[in-house]
Order: sequence, then structure tokens, then C-alpha cells
Amino acid sequence: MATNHPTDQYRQRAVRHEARARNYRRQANLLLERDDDTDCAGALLYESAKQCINAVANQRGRNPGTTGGKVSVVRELAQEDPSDTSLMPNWQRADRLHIHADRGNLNAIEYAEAWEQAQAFVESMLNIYARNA
Amino acid sequence: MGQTALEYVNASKREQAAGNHVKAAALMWQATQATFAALADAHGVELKSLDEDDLIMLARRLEADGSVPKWRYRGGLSPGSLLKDHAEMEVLESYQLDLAYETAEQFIRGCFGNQPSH
Repeated sequence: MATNHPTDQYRQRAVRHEARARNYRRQANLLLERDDDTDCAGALLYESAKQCINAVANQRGRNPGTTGGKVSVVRELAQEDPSDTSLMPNWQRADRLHIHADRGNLNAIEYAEAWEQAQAFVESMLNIYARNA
Repeated sequence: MGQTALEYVNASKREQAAGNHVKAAALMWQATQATFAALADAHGVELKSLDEDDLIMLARRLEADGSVPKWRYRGGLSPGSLLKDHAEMEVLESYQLDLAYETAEQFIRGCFGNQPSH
């Protein structure tokens, strides 16, 4: 992934995005466990995934902006480590949770699959962030 | 007999080129289903149906013995599932569609041992 020398402002943004990513994930887990609210939990986990992308991009002096820009960041990260082929498909499952939050289209098995893969995406991204911190 | 997975891929690419994305997405989902049917055959596993539930269960079972990396098959199913959503609800933006076509084709061709054509 193309890296610019991050300014202090970008570094501070990265820290904030990483904190938000963890917070949204925690809240998503709570909503699912406590309230069985799949729509809200899915939306929050998707938001956590996006915050992770912002954090890693900011850490490298980049501002991905739109969701399309965030996808480009994931694509570049996946190309950096071709041995890990899970990043992109797990992001796509997070995307599916986002659709479900709007359309309520997933059945229980499909939702569980999307949830698990989205969790794996967030964890992978937080690991990338930690390695670069 | 239904089309093979790669025939579905090629049909999808023709529809993509023509801008018919609902049809193209449906065909790529069918390609994904056909790929999992072929994987079930190759592994001697009975596949109850081509419904996504059963494909998820198959993908989990194929990964369970640890002979392939985690997410190899479950991840391979991801873009096809997104494309199924688009075929049913027209929910994807163009950047999501492009990525899903690309990664679905990559997975399918990888399963059959050939590379994407450009």
C-alpha cells in the first residue's frame, strides 16, 4: 500500500479511528448478545470495519474518504500480503452485514457466517494497525 | 445438464460487458454454485441443495480438516453471495460489483486450475 509520511494530524486521526473501531465492535457484540438485535449489531460491526480501514490508512498518511476509497485500501493491503487471502472476502462479508442492516435479507445461517467473517476482518485490520504502530 | 461453472463465468462476463448487471450477477452466483457442486463431487461429499445455507455448510466442512487455509472456501463464497444479493435486490454500487465479479472469478478459476482471462 502506498505510504506517505504521516503528519501528526494523521497519526492522531489514526488513534481516534482505532479507538472507534474497538468501541463499535464492543457495542456490536453487546447488542447481539444482550438484545439479539441483528440489524443494529451488523451495522455497527460494519462501521467498526470501516473505522479500522481509516485507522490503517491514516497511519500511513492516507485519507481513504469514500467507501470506494476504503475498498481500494483493502485491495492494496491484500496485495501486500498475498499469503493472506482472507482480507478481501472477509471485507465483502462485512459489506453484506451492511446490506442486511438495510434490507434484513439474511437468514440465521447466512447472518452467522457474515458476522464471523466480519469479526475476522476487524481482527486482521487491528493486527495490521498494531504491527505498524 | 446445467452449464459448467466456467461457462457461467463466461456468460456473466458477456452480460457485464453489455451492462446487464442483474443478469451478470445472477450468472456469477450460478457459477459459484456450480463450483461448490463440483467441489462436493470431488470430495465425495453429498450436497443437499445449491442453497446458500448448504454451500456455507459445505465450505465449513471442506475447511474443517485443516488441509486448506482457513477461509479458502468460506471466503470463496463471499463474492458470490454478494452478487446473489445484487441479482435479487440491485444493492451494489459499481465499485462493489467490479470487485465482486473479479474476486468471484478468481476463486472459481482457481478451483478449476486456470487463471482469469482479461
